[in-house]
Amino acid sequence: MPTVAIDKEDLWDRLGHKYAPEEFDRLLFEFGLELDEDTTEEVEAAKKKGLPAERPQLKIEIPANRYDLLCIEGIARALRVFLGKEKAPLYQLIYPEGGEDSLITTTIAPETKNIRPYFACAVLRGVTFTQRSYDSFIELQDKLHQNICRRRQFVAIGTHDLDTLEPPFSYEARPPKDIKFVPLSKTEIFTAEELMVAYESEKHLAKYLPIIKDSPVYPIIYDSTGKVASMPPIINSEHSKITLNTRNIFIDVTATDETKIEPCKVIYPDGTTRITPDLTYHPMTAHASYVNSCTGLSVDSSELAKLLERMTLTASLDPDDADAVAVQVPPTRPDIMHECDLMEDAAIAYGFNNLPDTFPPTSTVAQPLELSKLSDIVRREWALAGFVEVLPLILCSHEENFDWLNRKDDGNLAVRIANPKTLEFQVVRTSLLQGLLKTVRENRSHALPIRIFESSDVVFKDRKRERQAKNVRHAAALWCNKTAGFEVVHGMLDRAMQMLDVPRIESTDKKSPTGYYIKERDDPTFFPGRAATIYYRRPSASHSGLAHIQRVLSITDDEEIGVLGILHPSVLEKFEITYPCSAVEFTLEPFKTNAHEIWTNAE
Amino acid sequence: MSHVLTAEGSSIAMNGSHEARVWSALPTKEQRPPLTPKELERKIGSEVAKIGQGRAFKNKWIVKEGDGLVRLTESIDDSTQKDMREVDSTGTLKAGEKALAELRKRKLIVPKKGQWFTVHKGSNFSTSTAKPETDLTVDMLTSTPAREVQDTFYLSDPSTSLPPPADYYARVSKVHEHGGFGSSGYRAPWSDAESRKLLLRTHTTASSAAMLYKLAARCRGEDDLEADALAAHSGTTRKGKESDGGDGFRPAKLFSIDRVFRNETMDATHLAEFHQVEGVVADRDLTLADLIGFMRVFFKKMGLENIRFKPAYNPYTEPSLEIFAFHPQLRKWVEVGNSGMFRPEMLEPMGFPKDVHVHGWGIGLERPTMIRYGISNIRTLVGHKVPIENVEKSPAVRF
Repeated sequence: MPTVAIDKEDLWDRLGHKYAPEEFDRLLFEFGLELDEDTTEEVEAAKKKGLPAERPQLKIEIPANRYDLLCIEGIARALRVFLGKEKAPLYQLIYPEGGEDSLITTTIAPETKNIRPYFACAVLRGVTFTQRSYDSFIELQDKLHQNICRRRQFVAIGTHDLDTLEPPFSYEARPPKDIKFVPLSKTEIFTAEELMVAYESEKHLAKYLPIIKDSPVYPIIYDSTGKVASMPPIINSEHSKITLNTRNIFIDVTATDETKIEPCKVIYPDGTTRITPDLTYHPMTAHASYVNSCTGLSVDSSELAKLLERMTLTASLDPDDADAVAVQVPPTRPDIMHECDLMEDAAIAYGFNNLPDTFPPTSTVAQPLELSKLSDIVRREWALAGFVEVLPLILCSHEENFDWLNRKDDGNLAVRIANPKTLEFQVVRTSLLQGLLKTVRENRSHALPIRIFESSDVVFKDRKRERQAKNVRHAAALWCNKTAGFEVVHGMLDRAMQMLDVPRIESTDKKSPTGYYIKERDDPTFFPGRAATIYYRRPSASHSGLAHIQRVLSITDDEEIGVLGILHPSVLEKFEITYPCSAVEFTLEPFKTNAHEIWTNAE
Repeated sequence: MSHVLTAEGSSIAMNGSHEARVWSALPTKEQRPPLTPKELERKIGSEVAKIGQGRAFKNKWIVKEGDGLVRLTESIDDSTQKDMREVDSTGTLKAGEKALAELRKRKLIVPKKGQWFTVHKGSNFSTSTAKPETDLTVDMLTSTPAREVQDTFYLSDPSTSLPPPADYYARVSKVHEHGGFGSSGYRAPWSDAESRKLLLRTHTTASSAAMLYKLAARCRGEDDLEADALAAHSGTTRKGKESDGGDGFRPAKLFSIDRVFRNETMDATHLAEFHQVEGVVADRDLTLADLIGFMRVFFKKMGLENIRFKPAYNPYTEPSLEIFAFHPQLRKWVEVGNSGMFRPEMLEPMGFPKDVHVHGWGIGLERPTMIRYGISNIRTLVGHKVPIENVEKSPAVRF
């Protein structure tokens, strides 16, 4: 959100009232603005010490959609209208004598389509600057550049003393070496090529150079005598700079995108002409019934019209429809797209904090997400067993997820991050183990044994799904002590299974209808001979003939749901742990019984 | 193998070899008187004089005359100096390894210690540099004031989603680009490639939107079994309407407390991973007053009685409001949550009837917790650096 610094005394003058701090804070708050800072105290303190001090300023945070509030003039106008002190202004274009035929024209050269194809311009006549209004004008231009213009990438604005230039203008694109002029604040002539080098060391301009740097042609605006007005989006010429004495201002706007006061005529290469700027008001309709149904108010259309007027909108009653208010949306409010935007403005004018106090009457029956419930079951049991739940990060380095656990990356498992700022965040974890091990590493000073667990999601690639990946809920526990404690984590597994109502069966048992068992595995993450796979046999859903035949034939389709074992010394070394550790990790997904898939990530 | 000069070697390259310096210090036979060894030492230093005499005699450059020394030849060829200069400029000698070995033995040159790098083309090798993410085109950033894309973790593998449901996609892209459902839309270009980029969510509202789309399945006339499951925990709607108004809609309240990701530089108050608490209420004719009333109760349950609501801006809600609570210790208003009513441009393309309004609200989990418990470093709250002892000793949470 942009912050605008404005002169406090000036604002009080414009509002016709000196506000006490709290009173002003409340006014801003109701309108949707936030007072970031009031420098009055600072200034007073500096004055007491006899230090040079500026005038007290108010720093106000503006919401990202309100480009019309980026200067003192805009804020003061909006607040005066909000307070009912003035009517919304009507923006209109004043044609020069002689009408459309005597408009200032700018002709666009076809080459500009390679770099910044859109152009608009306008003339402000009869301006009188004071130092402060001049500063505010320059500041507004900069705020517009930083915000809606996206640091000049989309749009760049140049302002010129029209009386130093000779219209008509031409907007062209030429090779940098062919562009020569004295840029703003310099005394010698530079070519565009030289400028791009010279400005690399000037911080405030260097950031804009990449916008055109590598283009074979640079945008350039000439007047009829061949004088350069500006080289957008980088710099204007010294010749046409505006000063305190400037009376007539020529404004040029170049853009990569078209969606963004005497008009001027712009002639495009294909011969089409356009008169800029477009100050058309957009007609919209607000219905009192709609506004009431969304806000909880009960206003009629004339009350609604009054509310909208206070938000700088022009509103009039519709003689044919008692419910409707005809609204003219000014060109300064491109954020108003739908009747709901008018509805919000009406609610702001009424005051959010003045709305009736109601509560949604919606009654529903609560229902836990089954996966969360499974996690909670494991959490409770493991916590009762004296283990502490920890909260490691989901993102980790590639090494932590693979190499350090002696696991190989076959490229089909882990989701990789394209633009991490640090190596800590290269992949989304595929196992909970490294988080537990890192937690032990960081808790060396904790008394032994260290007993920790986590029940949370890991992520695997899944090419079949729209999002190309799936979350899988895991549970993992780790024991760290002077002895490895394989039996401890084995006990943790047994306890969790008991609570999940899964009986323990022998690995050789082919007959039992459901259960879990463990079987030795060869796994470099774990110490040889001290690692096992956890298998789960789902209860067969039907008592169909096939299931029966399978049992008779001792055919099982038991799934591998996890592992347990004593961690390999080389793994512990990588995680800088000097005591033996055992761990168990398994997925909770197979234990879902009656999940309402609608609220899950299933596709 | 490349060589460099030792200090002695450098001195020879500059001033000539010891024997050459001896020769040049001596007078010719004609000049006389001969220089005594003592005088020679004074002139060029004892070390140079000692080493140089032997070699100069061997080369037949000088001769004894009485108790002094004189030059024997009129000119000399100082090959050692030439060798030094050659090694200095080329790192080696044309004369070959034998000559180099001799110079090494005399400690005039040493093998150059160096690091070698062998460069191979990697999988990302390219002769052109990719445009960094910060260098955006209009396609990537629409004119909506979206969260800065630099804060987002994009995925490199997998990087692109499968196509979303075609008709939903068409409705969403149309309302964005050209408007519809009573809206003029952003009138900004819609990029298919951008919409298909995979990323780690920066806020849980992304998930709320996905769930709302599922909730609207019955309104879209999609026949599914899930709707029956849903019916089990949805109640009646406002205004005494039939719970199903004929359009398939059932009200719902949903919440989530889950992880979000921001590609931020980490410090005491920022982590790349943290949690958001989020809720939605979907029903017919819900009002802004209902949302405010709901938020008052929600925060009251956590002990925050003195709260107020500020109009705000979110791209996906209208109205939008920020919730501020008065903090008695800090003695100022602090933002504690954000909420709003989802825009019709978002709900209607999902298939919801016009009179279905949806509240959405969200609060960060970590920041209020840090304020509540006086924690100054977020790393002691989230991540592997959390002291286990803190977890063990924290009192139970009671509001």
